[in-house]
Amino acid sequence: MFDWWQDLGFAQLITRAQLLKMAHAAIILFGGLILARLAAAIVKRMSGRHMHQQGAMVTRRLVYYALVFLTFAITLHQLGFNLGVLLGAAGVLTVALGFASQTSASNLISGLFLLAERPFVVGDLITVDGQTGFVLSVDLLSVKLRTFDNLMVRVPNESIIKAQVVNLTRFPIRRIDLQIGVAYKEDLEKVRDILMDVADRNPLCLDEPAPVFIFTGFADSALTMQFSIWAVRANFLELRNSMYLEIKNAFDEAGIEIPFPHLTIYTGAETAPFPLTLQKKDASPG
Amino acid sequence: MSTRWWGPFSFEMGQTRLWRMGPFEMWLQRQEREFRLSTMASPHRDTPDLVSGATTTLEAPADAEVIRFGVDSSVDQLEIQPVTSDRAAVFKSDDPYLVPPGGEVTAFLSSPVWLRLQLMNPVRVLHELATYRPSDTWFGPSTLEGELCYAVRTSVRYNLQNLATRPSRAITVVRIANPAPTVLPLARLRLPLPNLSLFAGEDGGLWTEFVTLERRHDGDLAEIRLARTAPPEAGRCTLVGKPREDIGRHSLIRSFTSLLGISGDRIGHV
Repeated sequence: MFDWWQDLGFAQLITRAQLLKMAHAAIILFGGLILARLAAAIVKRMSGRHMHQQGAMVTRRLVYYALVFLTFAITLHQLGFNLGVLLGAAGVLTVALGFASQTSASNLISGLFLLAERPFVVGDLITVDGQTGFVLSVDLLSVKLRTFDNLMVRVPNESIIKAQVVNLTRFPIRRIDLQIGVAYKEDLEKVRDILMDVADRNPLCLDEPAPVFIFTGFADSALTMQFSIWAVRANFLELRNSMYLEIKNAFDEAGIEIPFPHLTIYTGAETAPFPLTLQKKDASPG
Repeated sequence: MSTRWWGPFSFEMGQTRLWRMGPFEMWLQRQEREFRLSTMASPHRDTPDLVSGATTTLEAPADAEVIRFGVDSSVDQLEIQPVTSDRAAVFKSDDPYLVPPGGEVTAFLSSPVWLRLQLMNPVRVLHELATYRPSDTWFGPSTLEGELCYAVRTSVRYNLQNLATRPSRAITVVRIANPAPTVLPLARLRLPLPNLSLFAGEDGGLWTEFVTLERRHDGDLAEIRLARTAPPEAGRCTLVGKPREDIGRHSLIRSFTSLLGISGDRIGHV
Protein backbone atom coordinates (compact mmCIF):
# COMPACT_ATOMS: atom_id res chain seq x y z
CA MET A 1 0.00 0.00 0.00
CA PHE A 2 2.84 2.33 0.73
CA ASP A 3 5.03 1.32 -2.29
CA TRP A 4 4.12 4.50 -4.09
CA TRP A 5 5.48 6.36 -1.06
CA GLN A 6 8.83 4.57 -1.41
CA ASP A 7 8.86 4.98 -5.14
CA LEU A 8 8.52 8.71 -4.77
CA GLY A 9 11.49 8.75 -2.42
CA PHE A 10 9.62 10.17 0.56
CA ALA A 11 10.64 7.13 2.63
CA GLN A 12 13.95 8.92 3.29
CA LEU A 13 12.11 11.85 4.93
CA ILE A 14 9.28 10.11 6.70
CA THR A 15 9.15 6.41 7.39
CA ARG A 16 6.06 4.31 7.04
CA ALA A 17 5.66 4.09 10.79
CA GLN A 18 5.84 7.84 11.13
CA LEU A 19 3.36 8.26 8.35
CA LEU A 20 0.97 5.94 10.14
CA LYS A 21 1.42 7.92 13.31
CA MET A 22 0.65 11.17 11.51
CA ALA A 23 -2.42 9.60 9.96
CA HIS A 24 -3.60 8.43 13.36
CA ALA A 25 -2.95 11.86 14.80
CA ALA A 26 -4.91 13.53 11.99
CA ILE A 27 -7.83 11.15 12.58
CA ILE A 28 -7.70 11.84 16.30
CA LEU A 29 -7.56 15.59 15.69
CA PHE A 30 -10.37 15.57 13.16
CA GLY A 31 -12.50 13.21 15.22
CA GLY A 32 -11.81 15.10 18.41
CA LEU A 33 -12.88 18.43 16.93
CA ILE A 34 -16.10 16.90 15.62
CA LEU A 35 -16.72 15.27 18.98
CA ALA A 36 -16.12 18.59 20.73
CA ARG A 37 -18.69 20.31 18.50
CA LEU A 38 -21.22 17.51 19.03
CA ALA A 39 -20.73 17.56 22.77
CA ALA A 40 -21.14 21.34 22.86
CA ALA A 41 -24.38 21.09 20.87
CA ILE A 42 -25.73 18.40 23.21
CA VAL A 43 -24.76 20.43 26.27
CA LYS A 44 -26.42 23.51 24.75
CA ARG A 45 -29.65 21.64 24.14
CA MET A 46 -29.73 20.07 27.59
CA SER A 47 -28.60 23.06 29.60
CA GLY A 48 -30.99 25.39 27.80
CA ARG A 49 -33.83 23.68 29.67
CA HIS A 50 -32.27 23.74 33.09
CA MET A 51 -30.06 26.83 33.15
CA HIS A 52 -30.37 30.46 32.22
CA GLN A 53 -29.03 31.63 28.89
CA GLN A 54 -25.65 32.95 30.06
CA GLY A 55 -24.89 29.89 32.16
CA ALA A 56 -25.77 27.62 29.29
CA MET A 57 -23.48 29.55 26.96
CA VAL A 58 -20.54 29.43 29.37
CA THR A 59 -21.04 25.72 30.06
CA ARG A 60 -21.15 24.98 26.35
CA ARG A 61 -17.92 26.88 25.75
CA LEU A 62 -16.16 25.26 28.68
CA VAL A 63 -17.07 21.78 27.43
CA TYR A 64 -16.00 22.65 23.89
CA TYR A 65 -12.63 24.13 24.80
CA ALA A 66 -11.90 21.38 27.31
CA LEU A 67 -12.46 18.72 24.63
CA VAL A 68 -10.42 20.68 22.09
CA PHE A 69 -7.55 20.95 24.55
CA LEU A 70 -7.78 17.22 25.29
CA THR A 71 -7.84 16.46 21.57
CA PHE A 72 -4.72 18.50 20.95
CA ALA A 73 -2.98 16.85 23.91
CA ILE A 74 -3.78 13.37 22.62
CA THR A 75 -2.78 14.36 19.09
CA LEU A 76 0.56 15.66 20.27
CA HIS A 77 1.10 12.52 22.33
CA GLN A 78 0.26 10.42 19.30
CA LEU A 79 2.85 12.35 17.28
CA GLY A 80 5.43 11.44 19.86
CA PHE A 81 5.81 14.70 21.69
CA ASN A 82 6.74 14.39 25.33
CA LEU A 83 3.96 16.26 27.07
CA GLY A 84 5.96 16.40 30.26
CA VAL A 85 8.56 18.58 28.62
CA LEU A 86 5.85 20.65 27.05
CA LEU A 87 4.11 21.08 30.38
CA GLY A 88 7.35 22.16 31.94
CA ALA A 89 7.82 24.77 29.27
CA ALA A 90 4.22 25.68 29.62
CA GLY A 91 4.76 26.29 33.31
CA VAL A 92 7.36 28.91 32.55
CA LEU A 93 5.22 30.32 29.82
CA THR A 94 2.26 30.42 32.18
CA VAL A 95 4.11 32.65 34.60
CA ALA A 96 4.99 35.02 31.79
CA LEU A 97 1.47 34.87 30.43
CA GLY A 98 0.06 35.38 33.89
CA PHE A 99 1.77 38.72 34.21
CA ALA A 100 0.69 39.68 30.73
CA SER A 101 -2.90 38.54 31.10
CA GLN A 102 -3.79 40.01 34.45
CA THR A 103 -6.56 42.06 32.87
CA SER A 104 -8.00 39.11 31.00
CA ALA A 105 -7.90 36.96 34.12
CA SER A 106 -9.59 39.72 36.06
CA ASN A 107 -12.25 39.99 33.38
CA LEU A 108 -12.73 36.24 33.41
CA ILE A 109 -13.16 36.08 37.17
CA SER A 110 -15.41 39.15 37.10
CA GLY A 111 -17.50 37.36 34.47
CA LEU A 112 -17.96 34.38 36.78
CA PHE A 113 -19.08 36.68 39.58
CA LEU A 114 -21.51 38.38 37.21
CA LEU A 115 -22.96 35.00 36.31
CA ALA A 116 -23.45 34.14 39.95
CA GLU A 117 -24.83 37.51 41.01
CA ARG A 118 -26.92 38.17 37.90
CA PRO A 119 -27.46 41.90 38.22
CA PHE A 120 -28.87 41.70 34.70
CA VAL A 121 -29.65 39.10 32.07
CA VAL A 122 -29.61 39.05 28.28
CA GLY A 123 -32.34 41.36 27.02
CA ASP A 124 -32.24 43.78 29.96
CA LEU A 125 -31.72 47.47 29.37
CA ILE A 126 -28.81 48.72 31.48
CA THR A 127 -26.75 51.86 31.94
CA VAL A 128 -23.08 51.41 32.76
CA ASP A 129 -20.31 53.98 32.51
CA GLY A 130 -22.64 56.40 30.80
CA GLN A 131 -23.67 53.92 28.11
CA THR A 132 -27.25 52.70 27.86
CA GLY A 133 -28.13 49.66 25.84
CA PHE A 134 -29.74 46.27 25.66
CA VAL A 135 -27.62 43.36 26.85
CA LEU A 136 -26.80 41.21 23.84
CA SER A 137 -24.57 38.72 25.61
CA VAL A 138 -22.69 38.18 28.85
CA ASP A 139 -19.43 36.60 27.73
CA LEU A 140 -16.40 35.36 29.61
CA LEU A 141 -14.44 38.58 29.26
CA SER A 142 -17.02 41.22 28.46
CA VAL A 143 -20.63 42.21 28.13
CA LYS A 144 -21.95 43.33 24.76
CA LEU A 145 -24.60 46.01 24.59
CA ARG A 146 -26.71 47.31 21.72
CA THR A 147 -27.39 51.02 22.10
CA PHE A 148 -30.59 52.72 20.99
CA ASP A 149 -28.83 53.98 17.86
CA ASN A 150 -27.83 50.41 17.03
CA LEU A 151 -24.19 50.54 18.02
CA MET A 152 -22.39 47.67 19.68
CA VAL A 153 -20.59 48.53 22.90
CA ARG A 154 -18.19 46.09 24.51
CA VAL A 155 -17.83 46.60 28.26
CA PRO A 156 -15.14 44.56 30.06
CA ASN A 157 -16.52 42.51 32.93
CA GLU A 158 -14.00 44.06 35.27
CA SER A 159 -15.45 47.51 34.57
CA ILE A 160 -18.95 46.29 35.28
CA ILE A 161 -17.97 44.75 38.60
CA LYS A 162 -16.37 48.03 39.64
CA ALA A 163 -18.97 50.38 38.21
CA GLN A 164 -22.50 51.27 39.18
CA VAL A 165 -24.90 49.44 36.89
CA VAL A 166 -28.46 50.64 36.52
CA ASN A 167 -30.88 47.99 35.33
CA LEU A 168 -33.76 49.85 33.76
CA THR A 169 -35.88 46.78 33.11
CA ARG A 170 -35.53 44.71 36.27
CA PHE A 171 -38.84 45.78 37.82
CA PRO A 172 -42.20 45.76 36.06
CA ILE A 173 -43.18 49.40 36.65
CA ARG A 174 -41.25 52.66 36.51
CA ARG A 175 -41.78 56.14 37.79
CA ILE A 176 -41.67 59.10 35.40
CA ASP A 177 -40.70 62.45 36.92
CA LEU A 178 -42.06 65.33 34.86
CA GLN A 179 -40.33 68.65 35.58
CA ILE A 180 -42.72 71.53 35.09
CA GLY A 181 -42.52 75.25 35.59
CA VAL A 182 -45.34 77.77 35.65
CA ALA A 183 -45.39 81.51 35.94
CA TYR A 184 -45.32 83.09 39.38
CA LYS A 185 -48.81 84.49 38.94
CA GLU A 186 -50.41 81.04 38.62
CA ASP A 187 -52.50 79.34 41.31
CA LEU A 188 -50.56 76.24 42.36
CA GLU A 189 -53.63 74.40 43.57
CA LYS A 190 -55.29 74.92 40.22
CA VAL A 191 -52.12 73.71 38.48
CA ARG A 192 -52.06 70.61 40.67
CA ASP A 193 -55.70 69.84 39.91
CA ILE A 194 -55.05 70.18 36.19
CA LEU A 195 -52.07 67.84 36.38
CA MET A 196 -54.04 65.26 38.34
CA ASP A 197 -56.85 65.47 35.82
CA VAL A 198 -54.46 64.95 32.91
CA ALA A 199 -53.00 61.89 34.64
CA ASP A 200 -56.46 60.61 35.40
CA ARG A 201 -57.54 60.82 31.75
CA ASN A 202 -54.46 59.05 30.40
CA PRO A 203 -55.17 55.29 30.50
CA LEU A 204 -51.47 54.41 30.46
CA CYS A 205 -50.84 56.32 33.67
CA LEU A 206 -51.17 53.89 36.55
CA ASP A 207 -53.94 54.65 39.00
CA GLU A 208 -51.72 53.11 41.63
CA PRO A 209 -49.12 53.96 42.67
CA ALA A 210 -50.94 57.28 42.62
CA PRO A 211 -49.42 60.32 40.89
CA VAL A 212 -47.54 62.66 43.20
CA PHE A 213 -47.29 66.43 42.98
CA ILE A 214 -44.14 67.89 44.53
CA PHE A 215 -43.41 71.59 44.64
CA THR A 216 -39.68 71.96 44.20
CA GLY A 217 -38.99 75.65 44.50
CA PHE A 218 -39.11 79.29 43.58
CA ALA A 219 -36.76 79.37 40.63
CA ASP A 220 -35.44 82.38 38.76
CA SER A 221 -38.17 82.53 36.17
CA ALA A 222 -40.86 80.11 37.32
CA LEU A 223 -42.45 78.13 40.09
CA THR A 224 -40.99 74.68 39.60
CA MET A 225 -42.60 71.40 40.44
CA GLN A 226 -42.20 67.71 39.86
CA PHE A 227 -45.16 65.62 38.83
CA SER A 228 -44.36 61.93 39.31
CA ILE A 229 -46.44 59.29 37.60
CA TRP A 230 -46.01 55.57 37.16
CA ALA A 231 -46.15 53.43 34.05
CA VAL A 232 -45.66 49.84 33.10
CA ARG A 233 -42.12 49.48 31.81
CA ALA A 234 -43.24 48.86 28.22
CA ASN A 235 -45.28 52.10 28.15
CA PHE A 236 -42.63 54.32 29.70
CA LEU A 237 -41.70 56.34 26.63
CA GLU A 238 -45.20 56.61 25.24
CA LEU A 239 -46.62 57.83 28.54
CA ARG A 240 -43.80 60.29 29.10
CA ASN A 241 -44.29 61.90 25.70
CA SER A 242 -48.06 61.90 25.80
CA MET A 243 -48.15 63.42 29.28
CA TYR A 244 -46.00 66.39 28.28
CA LEU A 245 -48.19 67.02 25.23
CA GLU A 246 -51.40 66.68 27.21
CA ILE A 247 -50.12 68.91 30.00
CA LYS A 248 -49.19 71.60 27.50
CA ASN A 249 -52.65 71.39 25.92
CA ALA A 250 -54.36 71.47 29.31
CA PHE A 251 -52.31 74.47 30.41
CA ASP A 252 -53.13 76.29 27.18
CA GLU A 253 -56.85 75.61 27.66
CA ALA A 254 -56.73 76.82 31.24
CA GLY A 255 -54.59 79.84 30.43
CA ILE A 256 -51.67 78.62 32.57
CA GLU A 257 -48.44 80.24 31.47
CA ILE A 258 -45.25 78.23 31.07
CA PRO A 259 -42.69 81.01 31.20
CA PHE A 260 -39.45 81.33 29.31
CA PRO A 261 -36.48 82.62 31.31
CA HIS A 262 -37.00 86.18 32.48
CA LEU A 263 -34.40 88.73 33.46
CA THR A 264 -35.60 91.83 35.20
CA ILE A 265 -33.19 94.74 35.37
CA TYR A 266 -33.57 97.23 38.17
CA THR A 267 -31.51 100.33 38.31
CA GLY A 268 -32.15 100.65 42.00
CA ALA A 269 -35.08 101.32 44.32
CA GLU A 270 -34.58 105.07 44.32
CA THR A 271 -34.10 105.56 40.58
CA ALA A 272 -36.72 106.45 38.05
CA PRO A 273 -38.05 103.86 35.62
CA PHE A 274 -36.43 103.48 32.25
CA PRO A 275 -37.69 106.16 29.85
CA LEU A 276 -39.76 104.81 26.96
CA THR A 277 -40.87 106.70 23.89
CA LEU A 278 -43.64 105.48 21.61
CA GLN A 279 -43.13 106.39 17.98
CA LYS A 280 -45.94 106.72 15.54
CA LYS A 281 -45.42 104.93 12.28
CA ASP A 282 -45.18 107.43 9.38
CA ALA A 283 -48.00 107.20 6.83
CA SER A 284 -46.81 105.78 3.50
CA PRO A 285 -46.32 108.44 0.74
CA GLY A 286 -48.92 108.83 -2.01
CA MET B 1 -86.98 46.90 26.80
CA SER B 2 -84.11 44.58 25.91
CA THR B 3 -80.60 45.95 25.98
CA ARG B 4 -79.25 43.07 23.95
CA TRP B 5 -76.62 44.31 21.49
CA TRP B 6 -74.87 41.08 20.61
CA GLY B 7 -75.55 38.15 18.33
CA PRO B 8 -75.27 37.47 14.58
CA PHE B 9 -75.80 40.37 12.19
CA SER B 10 -76.31 40.17 8.45
CA PHE B 11 -74.94 42.78 6.07
CA GLU B 12 -75.97 43.67 2.56
CA MET B 13 -73.14 44.83 0.34
CA GLY B 14 -72.27 48.41 1.29
CA GLN B 15 -74.50 48.32 4.38
CA THR B 16 -73.35 49.97 7.61
CA ARG B 17 -74.56 49.10 11.08
CA LEU B 18 -74.09 51.26 14.14
CA TRP B 19 -73.63 50.38 17.78
CA ARG B 20 -73.71 53.01 20.47
CA MET B 21 -73.33 52.14 24.15
CA GLY B 22 -72.56 54.97 26.48
CA PRO B 23 -69.24 56.51 25.43
CA PHE B 24 -68.58 53.78 22.86
CA GLU B 25 -69.58 53.97 19.20
CA MET B 26 -68.88 51.41 16.51
CA TRP B 27 -69.62 51.34 12.78
CA LEU B 28 -69.36 48.10 10.83
CA GLN B 29 -69.58 48.31 7.09
CA ARG B 30 -69.49 45.50 4.57
CA GLN B 31 -67.54 46.28 1.42
CA GLU B 32 -66.29 44.21 -1.48
CA ARG B 33 -64.14 41.49 0.11
CA GLU B 34 -63.75 43.33 3.41
CA PHE B 35 -65.43 44.54 6.55
CA ARG B 36 -64.58 47.99 7.78
CA LEU B 37 -64.65 48.64 11.53
CA SER B 38 -64.66 52.23 12.82
CA THR B 39 -64.72 52.98 16.51
CA MET B 40 -64.82 56.05 18.63
CA ALA B 41 -64.92 56.73 22.35
CA SER B 42 -66.41 59.83 23.89
CA PRO B 43 -65.51 59.51 27.58
CA HIS B 44 -67.70 62.40 28.65
CA ARG B 45 -70.87 60.78 27.31
CA ASP B 46 -71.92 57.94 29.59
CA THR B 47 -75.65 57.60 29.04
CA PRO B 48 -77.85 54.51 29.11
CA ASP B 49 -78.82 55.09 25.44
CA LEU B 50 -78.34 52.07 23.27
CA VAL B 51 -78.13 51.55 19.53
CA SER B 52 -77.58 47.89 18.81
CA GLY B 53 -76.61 47.23 15.25
CA ALA B 54 -79.19 49.40 13.56
CA THR B 55 -78.67 50.09 9.89
CA THR B 56 -77.37 53.58 9.33
CA THR B 57 -76.46 55.85 6.47
CA LEU B 58 -74.24 57.91 8.74
CA GLU B 59 -70.55 57.78 7.96
CA ALA B 60 -68.07 57.26 10.74
CA PRO B 61 -66.27 60.48 11.71
CA ALA B 62 -62.96 61.11 10.02
CA ASP B 63 -61.06 60.81 13.29
CA ALA B 64 -62.55 57.41 14.16
CA GLU B 65 -60.10 54.50 14.46
CA VAL B 66 -60.42 52.24 11.46
CA ILE B 67 -59.54 48.58 11.02
CA ARG B 68 -60.28 46.61 7.87
CA PHE B 69 -60.72 42.84 7.71
CA GLY B 70 -60.17 41.03 4.47
CA VAL B 71 -62.84 38.37 3.94
CA ASP B 72 -64.29 36.36 1.11
CA SER B 73 -66.91 38.29 -0.86
CA SER B 74 -69.53 35.69 0.11
CA VAL B 75 -69.18 36.46 3.82
CA ASP B 76 -72.24 38.50 4.80
CA GLN B 77 -72.56 37.76 8.51
CA LEU B 78 -70.60 38.73 11.57
CA GLU B 79 -71.24 37.80 15.15
CA ILE B 80 -70.78 40.23 18.03
CA GLN B 81 -70.16 38.56 21.35
CA PRO B 82 -69.69 40.12 24.78
CA VAL B 83 -66.70 38.89 26.77
CA THR B 84 -65.18 39.84 30.10
CA SER B 85 -62.11 42.03 30.19
CA ASP B 86 -58.67 40.62 29.44
CA ARG B 87 -57.23 41.63 32.83
CA ALA B 88 -58.33 41.60 36.43
CA ALA B 89 -59.99 44.80 37.63
CA VAL B 90 -59.47 46.76 40.82
CA PHE B 91 -62.45 48.47 42.39
CA LYS B 92 -62.29 51.19 45.01
CA SER B 93 -64.57 52.06 47.86
CA ASP B 94 -65.63 55.67 48.13
CA ASP B 95 -65.06 55.63 51.85
CA PRO B 96 -63.15 53.15 53.98
CA TYR B 97 -65.33 50.09 54.46
CA LEU B 98 -64.37 47.58 57.10
CA VAL B 99 -65.61 44.03 57.41
CA PRO B 100 -65.43 42.98 61.05
CA PRO B 101 -63.86 39.67 62.13
CA GLY B 102 -66.27 36.87 61.39
CA GLY B 103 -68.43 39.18 59.27
CA GLU B 104 -69.77 38.98 55.75
CA VAL B 105 -70.82 41.61 53.25
CA THR B 106 -72.27 41.52 49.74
CA ALA B 107 -70.79 43.93 47.23
CA PHE B 108 -72.05 44.87 43.77
CA LEU B 109 -69.45 45.70 41.15
CA SER B 110 -69.96 47.01 37.63
CA SER B 111 -67.25 46.49 35.05
CA PRO B 112 -67.02 47.29 31.32
CA VAL B 113 -67.26 44.36 28.94
CA TRP B 114 -65.20 43.67 25.87
CA LEU B 115 -66.68 43.06 22.49
CA ARG B 116 -65.55 40.25 20.22
CA LEU B 117 -66.05 40.26 16.45
CA GLN B 118 -66.08 36.85 14.88
CA LEU B 119 -66.89 35.09 11.67
CA MET B 120 -69.32 32.21 11.83
CA ASN B 121 -69.34 28.63 10.56
CA PRO B 122 -66.71 27.95 11.75
CA VAL B 123 -66.20 30.49 14.46
CA ARG B 124 -63.09 32.57 13.84
CA VAL B 125 -62.28 35.53 16.04
CA LEU B 126 -61.43 38.64 14.06
CA HIS B 127 -60.92 41.24 16.72
CA GLU B 128 -61.59 42.23 20.31
CA LEU B 129 -62.04 45.69 21.69
CA ALA B 130 -63.10 47.33 24.91
CA THR B 131 -66.34 49.21 25.10
CA TYR B 132 -64.52 51.36 27.60
CA ARG B 133 -60.75 51.31 28.12
CA PRO B 134 -60.14 51.64 31.85
CA SER B 135 -56.96 53.10 33.22
CA ASP B 136 -54.04 50.82 34.07
CA THR B 137 -53.22 50.21 37.68
CA TRP B 138 -50.77 48.12 39.68
CA PHE B 139 -52.06 45.68 42.23
CA GLY B 140 -49.59 44.05 44.56
CA PRO B 141 -47.74 44.29 47.85
CA SER B 142 -45.01 46.52 46.40
CA THR B 143 -43.69 48.09 43.23
CA LEU B 144 -41.39 45.10 42.81
CA GLU B 145 -44.07 42.47 42.43
CA GLY B 146 -47.70 42.49 41.52
CA GLU B 147 -49.96 42.43 38.54
CA LEU B 148 -51.11 44.92 35.96
CA CYS B 149 -54.88 45.40 36.28
CA TYR B 150 -57.55 47.80 35.16
CA ALA B 151 -58.74 50.49 37.55
CA VAL B 152 -62.51 50.58 37.36
CA ARG B 153 -63.73 53.99 38.38
CA THR B 154 -67.15 52.77 39.38
CA SER B 155 -67.04 52.40 43.11
CA VAL B 156 -67.93 49.32 45.04
CA ARG B 157 -71.60 49.42 46.03
CA TYR B 158 -73.22 47.54 48.86
CA ASN B 159 -76.74 48.11 47.62
CA LEU B 160 -77.82 47.08 44.13
CA GLN B 161 -80.16 50.06 43.83
CA ASN B 162 -77.17 52.39 44.11
CA LEU B 163 -75.49 50.81 41.10
CA ALA B 164 -76.14 52.46 37.76
CA THR B 165 -76.71 49.85 35.07
CA ARG B 166 -75.42 50.22 31.53
CA PRO B 167 -75.80 47.91 28.51
CA SER B 168 -72.02 47.70 28.07
CA ARG B 169 -71.29 46.80 31.67
CA ALA B 170 -71.61 43.55 33.59
CA ILE B 171 -72.62 43.34 37.23
CA THR B 172 -70.82 41.00 39.59
CA VAL B 173 -72.31 40.12 42.94
CA VAL B 174 -69.54 39.29 45.40
CA ARG B 175 -70.00 37.92 48.86
CA ILE B 176 -66.98 38.76 50.98
CA ALA B 177 -66.38 36.74 54.10
CA ASN B 178 -63.81 37.60 56.76
CA PRO B 179 -63.24 34.63 59.07
CA ALA B 180 -59.91 36.06 60.23
CA PRO B 181 -59.57 37.56 63.72
CA THR B 182 -58.76 41.03 62.37
CA VAL B 183 -60.80 43.63 60.54
CA LEU B 184 -60.69 43.46 56.75
CA PRO B 185 -60.38 46.93 55.15
CA LEU B 186 -62.07 47.01 51.75
CA ALA B 187 -60.26 49.98 50.30
CA ARG B 188 -59.55 48.14 47.09
CA LEU B 189 -60.93 44.93 45.73
CA ARG B 190 -59.40 42.94 42.88
CA LEU B 191 -61.74 40.81 40.81
CA PRO B 192 -60.31 38.26 38.35
CA LEU B 193 -62.65 39.11 35.47
CA PRO B 194 -60.94 36.86 32.86
CA ASN B 195 -61.97 33.88 35.01
CA LEU B 196 -65.67 34.78 35.02
CA SER B 197 -68.46 33.84 32.65
CA LEU B 198 -71.04 36.22 31.26
CA PHE B 199 -74.78 35.75 31.57
CA ALA B 200 -77.58 37.75 30.03
CA GLY B 201 -80.79 38.45 31.85
CA GLU B 202 -84.17 38.53 30.17
CA ASP B 203 -83.88 42.30 29.81
CA GLY B 204 -80.45 41.94 28.16
CA GLY B 205 -78.55 43.09 31.23
CA LEU B 206 -75.18 41.41 31.65
CA TRP B 207 -74.11 39.59 34.79
CA THR B 208 -71.19 37.43 35.79
CA GLU B 209 -71.54 34.42 38.01
CA PHE B 210 -71.94 34.82 41.75
CA VAL B 211 -68.52 35.07 43.41
CA THR B 212 -67.52 34.35 46.98
CA LEU B 213 -64.27 35.69 48.35
CA GLU B 214 -63.22 34.24 51.67
CA ARG B 215 -60.25 35.85 53.29
CA ARG B 216 -57.47 33.47 54.27
CA HIS B 217 -55.68 34.00 57.55
CA ASP B 218 -54.74 37.59 58.20
CA GLY B 219 -53.31 38.55 54.87
CA ASP B 220 -54.52 39.67 51.51
CA LEU B 221 -55.13 36.26 49.99
CA ALA B 222 -58.65 35.04 49.41
CA GLU B 223 -60.17 31.80 48.38
CA ILE B 224 -62.39 32.53 45.42
CA ARG B 225 -65.39 30.30 44.76
CA LEU B 226 -67.33 30.64 41.53
CA ALA B 227 -70.95 29.61 41.52
CA ARG B 228 -71.09 28.91 37.78
CA THR B 229 -74.55 30.42 37.70
CA ALA B 230 -75.75 33.99 37.69
CA PRO B 231 -76.72 35.46 41.05
CA PRO B 232 -80.36 35.41 42.18
CA GLU B 233 -80.61 39.17 41.64
CA ALA B 234 -80.18 38.61 37.89
CA GLY B 235 -83.33 36.52 37.55
CA ARG B 236 -83.52 34.05 34.71
CA CYS B 237 -80.31 34.15 32.66
CA THR B 238 -78.60 32.45 29.76
CA LEU B 239 -74.88 31.94 29.35
CA VAL B 240 -73.47 34.23 26.64
CA GLY B 241 -69.73 34.02 27.25
CA LYS B 242 -67.35 31.52 28.80
CA PRO B 243 -64.36 32.55 30.92
CA ARG B 244 -61.18 33.46 29.08
CA GLU B 245 -59.22 31.34 31.57
CA ASP B 246 -60.89 28.63 33.57
CA ILE B 247 -59.55 28.37 37.11
CA GLY B 248 -62.06 25.77 38.20
CA ARG B 249 -64.61 26.20 40.92
CA HIS B 250 -62.22 27.63 43.47
CA SER B 251 -58.72 28.95 43.71
CA LEU B 252 -56.49 31.10 45.89
CA ILE B 253 -55.87 34.65 44.72
CA ARG B 254 -54.62 37.96 46.03
CA SER B 255 -57.73 40.07 46.20
CA PHE B 256 -57.86 42.59 48.96
CA THR B 257 -54.86 44.77 49.35
CA SER B 258 -52.86 46.62 46.78
CA LEU B 259 -50.02 48.84 47.78
CA LEU B 260 -50.56 48.81 51.51
CA GLY B 261 -48.23 51.24 53.17
CA ILE B 262 -46.91 52.53 49.88
CA SER B 263 -49.15 55.38 48.87
CA GLY B 264 -48.07 57.85 46.27
CA ASP B 265 -46.73 60.41 48.69
CA ARG B 266 -44.43 57.92 50.34
CA ILE B 267 -42.92 56.30 47.29
CA GLY B 268 -40.23 58.72 46.47
CA HIS B 269 -39.06 62.28 46.58
CA VAL B 270 -37.26 64.74 44.35
